[in-house]
Amino acid sequence: MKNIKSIIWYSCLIAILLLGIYGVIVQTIEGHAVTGISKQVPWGIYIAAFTFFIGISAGSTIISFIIHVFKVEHLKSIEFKTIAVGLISLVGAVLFLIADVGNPIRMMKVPIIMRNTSSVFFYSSISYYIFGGLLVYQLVNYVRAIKNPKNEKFRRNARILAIILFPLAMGIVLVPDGALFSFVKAREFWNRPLLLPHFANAALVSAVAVMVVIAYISEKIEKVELLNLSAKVLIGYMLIFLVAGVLFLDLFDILVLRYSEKPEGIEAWKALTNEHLVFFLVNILGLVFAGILLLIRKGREFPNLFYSAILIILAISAYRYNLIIIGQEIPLFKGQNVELYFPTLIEIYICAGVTSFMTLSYHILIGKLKIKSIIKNNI
Amino acid sequence: MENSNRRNFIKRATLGSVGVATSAMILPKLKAFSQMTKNSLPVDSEWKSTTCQGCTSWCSQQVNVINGRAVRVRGNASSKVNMGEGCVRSHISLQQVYDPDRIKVPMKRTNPKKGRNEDPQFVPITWDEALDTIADKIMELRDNQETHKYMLMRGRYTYMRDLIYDRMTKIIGSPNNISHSAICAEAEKFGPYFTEGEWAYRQYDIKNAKYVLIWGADPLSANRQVAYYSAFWGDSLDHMQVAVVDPRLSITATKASEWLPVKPGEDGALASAIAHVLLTKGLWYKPFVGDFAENSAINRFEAGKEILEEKPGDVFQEIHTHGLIKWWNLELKDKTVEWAAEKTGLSAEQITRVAENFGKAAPQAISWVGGGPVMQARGGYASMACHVLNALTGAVDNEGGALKANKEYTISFPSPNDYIDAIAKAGKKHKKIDHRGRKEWPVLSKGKSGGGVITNNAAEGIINEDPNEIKVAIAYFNNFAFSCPQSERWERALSKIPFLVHCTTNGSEFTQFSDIVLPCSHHMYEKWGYVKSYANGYRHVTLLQPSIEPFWDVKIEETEIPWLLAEKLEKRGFSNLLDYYKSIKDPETNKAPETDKEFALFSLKYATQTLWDPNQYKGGDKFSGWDEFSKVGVWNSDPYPFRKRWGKMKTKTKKFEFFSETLKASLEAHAEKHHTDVDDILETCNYQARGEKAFVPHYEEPLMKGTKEEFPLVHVDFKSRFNREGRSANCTWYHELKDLDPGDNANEDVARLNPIDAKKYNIKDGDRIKLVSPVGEIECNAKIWEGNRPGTISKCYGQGHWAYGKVASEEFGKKPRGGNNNVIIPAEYDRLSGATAFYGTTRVKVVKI
Amino acid sequence: MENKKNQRRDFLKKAGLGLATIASVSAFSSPLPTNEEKKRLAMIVDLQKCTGCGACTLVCKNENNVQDGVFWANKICKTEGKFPNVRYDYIPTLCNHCDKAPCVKVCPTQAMHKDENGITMHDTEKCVGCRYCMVACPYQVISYNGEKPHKRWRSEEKLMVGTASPKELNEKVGGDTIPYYNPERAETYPGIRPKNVVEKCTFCDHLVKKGEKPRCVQRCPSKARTFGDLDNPNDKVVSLLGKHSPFRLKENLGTEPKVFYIRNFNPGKYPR
Repeated sequence: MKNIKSIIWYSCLIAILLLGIYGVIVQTIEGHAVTGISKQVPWGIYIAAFTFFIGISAGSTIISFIIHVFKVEHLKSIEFKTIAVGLISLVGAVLFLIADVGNPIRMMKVPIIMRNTSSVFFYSSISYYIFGGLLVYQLVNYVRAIKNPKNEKFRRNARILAIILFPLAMGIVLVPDGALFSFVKAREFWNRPLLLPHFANAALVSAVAVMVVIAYISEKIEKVELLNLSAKVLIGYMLIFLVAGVLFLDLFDILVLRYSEKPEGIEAWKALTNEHLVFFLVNILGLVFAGILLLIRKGREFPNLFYSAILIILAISAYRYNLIIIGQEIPLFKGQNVELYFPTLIEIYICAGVTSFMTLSYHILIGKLKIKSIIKNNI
Repeated sequence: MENSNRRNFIKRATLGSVGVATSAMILPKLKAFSQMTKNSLPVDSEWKSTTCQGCTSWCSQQVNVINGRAVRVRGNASSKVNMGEGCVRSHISLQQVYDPDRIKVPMKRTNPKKGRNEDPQFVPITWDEALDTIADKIMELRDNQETHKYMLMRGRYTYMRDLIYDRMTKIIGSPNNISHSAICAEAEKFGPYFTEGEWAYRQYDIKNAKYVLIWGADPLSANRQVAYYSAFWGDSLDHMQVAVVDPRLSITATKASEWLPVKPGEDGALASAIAHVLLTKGLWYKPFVGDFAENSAINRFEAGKEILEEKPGDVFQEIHTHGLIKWWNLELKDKTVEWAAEKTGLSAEQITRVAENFGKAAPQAISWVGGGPVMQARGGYASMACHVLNALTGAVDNEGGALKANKEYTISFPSPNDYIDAIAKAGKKHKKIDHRGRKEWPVLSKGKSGGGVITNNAAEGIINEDPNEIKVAIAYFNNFAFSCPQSERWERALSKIPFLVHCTTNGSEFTQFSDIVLPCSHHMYEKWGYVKSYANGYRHVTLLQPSIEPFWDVKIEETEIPWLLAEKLEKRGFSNLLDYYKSIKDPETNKAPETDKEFALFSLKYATQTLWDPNQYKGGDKFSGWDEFSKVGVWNSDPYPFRKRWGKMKTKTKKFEFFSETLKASLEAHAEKHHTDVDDILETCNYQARGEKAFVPHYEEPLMKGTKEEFPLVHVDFKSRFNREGRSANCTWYHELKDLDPGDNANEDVARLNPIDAKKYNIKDGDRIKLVSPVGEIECNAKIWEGNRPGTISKCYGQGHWAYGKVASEEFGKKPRGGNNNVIIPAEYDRLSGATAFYGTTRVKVVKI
Repeated sequence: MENKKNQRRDFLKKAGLGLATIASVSAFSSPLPTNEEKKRLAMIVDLQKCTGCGACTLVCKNENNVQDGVFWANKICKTEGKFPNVRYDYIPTLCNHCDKAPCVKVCPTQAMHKDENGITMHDTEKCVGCRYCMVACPYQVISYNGEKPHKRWRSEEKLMVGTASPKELNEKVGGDTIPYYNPERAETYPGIRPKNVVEKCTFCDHLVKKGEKPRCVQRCPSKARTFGDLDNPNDKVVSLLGKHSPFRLKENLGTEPKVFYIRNFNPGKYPR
């Protein structure tokens, strides 16, 4: 029975992956003409997905930092997964970048040739290499630490790395990626001081939510209880705090836009309440309902915790999408036509494909390293 | 020690890799640089002079030919008319000449059925086969003594036209050479002819003008002399005020001081009111018009009051004009500003303000008459009403005024009379297919009854076989099935002609009905010819010259094709045409042409000899010979002689006629021909004037098809600044820049409505709509636009081709891209000039799809 | 000049690691100077002279072999007011060649860079196609080649039996993809830019290098454009800027654009 389910699950993932590969082939042959990007909206859903996953990558590293530094024993069980998720989301994010740029090979060389030190993109791309490298090293250390529980060296290394990775995640991953947008003076919607905290806070909350989803699936399907009750409660409180933070910033955004007298603000509000209303509602209501769900008595247990995590993930995806797309759709000049962006089927295929690739990689990484058993033994 | 070593190593290693990376950056650049200098300058680049015929500005142009390909276009700096400038349209010609949908080879029809939805199933044939077939058909007519059943249709032309349009038709023996002139702007010439004796368009001296009142013209985007006016408009605005009368906000209107969004068809009312203001406020230009006699009891014009003169000059002593008092009494005295405000939908304040400022600027106050008010049913009188304002301000023939063309010295081709044989003579005697000169068709071109063409009525003639059937027809540089209003009639007419030949560059709507298609040269790049035009106080004669080798098997339609046909006719025993053509010799060598190519060149040299031959010099620019003229490409006239025509005009009275004795004579002659009186003629021809009013400029109500109830909106047609006379729709540049016509959208064909009407008829921006008129319907998109007069719907002409090419039509031969205005405009005419009505004629309703 | 280049080449070949560093530093600061005389090129558009005809847009496409749907020179136009008090407003736009160009700042590879005359140039060899410049440009004058340019001209489909396919025509006349291809463009920048990179106005640097004006300046039918060197006190641009009060687009962003606008597109006289 379990086998059939997993066969279906894997077949689905592979099918989606194949769809994604098809998309990549089409896009490689035809060029970005098959996407919905235009002169006015040069960045589309790939960049939105990129920001979402880079956020998860940084966010999950921060969770691992918390586990290590504050020695949160309840969460020890997901420690390895945070690193795995961190690494895989980073790879996924970079894959989205690769899907987005015209010359991926040249792009990979950007941090090496160091041509333009005034470009935020230059810094952010360096950060992927450094961050990715360290994540791999951390993973290796962690695996070794588990395999040789007596050798303190690996534990120590892992601990030091976790501590190093936290400021790295914040400083060289989230800051440059947020700055990619807030740096751009031409786009009023992005060029706001609170964009960065909003960006980072959303990253954290989405990462925690992803961990909850993983824990839930693991518990229900693999019958492995990753989080005990107090861990769930702890995570629940964490989510409440983070969701409140994001909502606060959202509210602030809404007020600023709603009562802005700048043409860009007016246009942005118009966009949020018209063409992008669905995403806007998913963003705000998702967080509100997640918050309410978390506040009720049983909210911090499964399955309610899981539902709120799903709501949060949807809300943050919607926030990322709106942030990237509206930021560009607002006309730069009065009287100019608003050019709406819609992702094409090919773009959606590729996005789904990359996501499926990440899920498969996660399964393979966990499975190959036989971490399941290790953890079982360890516990 | 060890530490520092390691650090050094790291440092070096990093720097080293950076160094390598950097050199990798630089080296390819150096390589690229050396390659670049090697083959940077194009081997063979030269500028060749020719002429752009994208509109009838006919600017002298130069083409940059690089390695045998035309790459760039610029204005010819040697021209004093366009002064080295060219408008945006000129550049689109590159996409025309290099249009992949151009016809490469002659073709013949294999589907005998003809009709709108019949695929002609053309197959390629040789020039020989094509011309043999045509020659056989012509010989058949000659053998049967029915050469009058031959017809030649002409669209755009160079002045080499006479060789095919006039001489060939006459020598074959047919009266039926039908030109496009009446769908151009004949009515625009009507006003000037019957007031100052000039059947021609005018040039306007904006460099010295103080006030320019423009009637339905848009000189910054369309016809005429767009290049000249664009070049000097901005700076002239420093010293001139501009008022534009147009129901839609044109680009000229937005760059003007006043926009007068008149109700379509009511221009004449405004013109009469402005004249009324000029007279009642004493603002007419006295040195030209004259003044009240010193001892006269009446010394001013009072609204509503007739002025009685016992004999002319008693009360008002005119100087260079004739009939002012009669005009006042017959027309102007009651045409108050308030009356006009009611008619035109403009405010009385604006009319007064414009009229007063216009009058105060005299004599540098121009009344600029475009196609808008005159290409209407009854438009001839509006043409007069608007044009005479130039006389009231003394702008006629004056600095800062409205001028005629300068003198030029080209030579007409020899008379064909000696080559017209008995068969031809008999054939020529038949009546023309367009019915000109009949009672209901006075067409007083140059004052002569039946003197002009009624292009669009030829369709009726063909359909009804009235006066006879047409068996063989040749057409060139035209597309009447697209460009003539109520174009569906042409589809029927052309289907009816058993043997139709079309000389064309593209497979157009007209071509779809043809039996033989002959691929033609592109006028600007592959053709010999010359045209004349005027602006800036000069006239130029500019050459069309081949600047590139034709890359397909194309021929010049006005010279090479008739020559080749003449050769074929000669082989069939009819040598008159070839003999005639051979009489046109190269003036330099006195050699008769032996090939089509020689004929094309020799005939051009022949026609322009006085311009380039120093021994025949008559005036204007002087050249050392043909080679220099050909290189320069343009001859300029002497500067304009201002005020030379005052008192010497080519009218009956030699004066500028407010009361047109010239028109009186013409109309009376036409009436006499049909044994009736002028009033009967006017009634037959749908005019409202009776009695003497018919001889003065006056207001006539617009004549529109359809009821206001069923068709609530008035259609306003206008021309795009990218229209190369309706031939640019197969160019991608045309579509992607279409939003440069104010109010239009790129890559769309839109009909524009004022928000008020949009609300009324529940139409939203971008809606797919149908415009339905009493004669047809077209599909396009809706555009809600403030620059449109409420109650009107404006739509640009130029799109809606169902043939012409892949870009022009949505599905070639079947589905049009956008809508062609001529489908919904009814075939209506200003019968006094023969002009086809385009404006203020069509009522439409809008239906959402 | 040539000497200098050769020297550098030798230098690189021979030099050790340290020396390479110096070379790399100099490469950072300024890419190959090609002209001793440095200029600060600028354009002035006289809006009163401008008639909004779009010849600038069209000749630019012609000069630079720009494909359908892409505009290096463009416009902002709008209709303002209510009938019958309506005006149509038009501002021609192009790359502003900003002194402080945001596109240059954000380009990760220096593909977008300033040349010795202050022209914002682009190098297709370095461009990664990330489109950050497009996002950062406040004027929306950079375009991205999402597909191989001039798709229409690569087609082998013909309209009917007696016509040619676009490809056939191009081969027949000996063009390069397009039959009216301008080879002069290729002297300083790819004649037709490849897929997956951005492209934009270069102030017709290939013409400027030969002492000519950019094509839009040459061919503006209303002579509305003046082009010259801001650092040369005798240049017409300097005197024009002295006489008029110019404006530039989005001056508040501090990009220091070098396309100036003078006078008004709607020069209607005050009704008296």
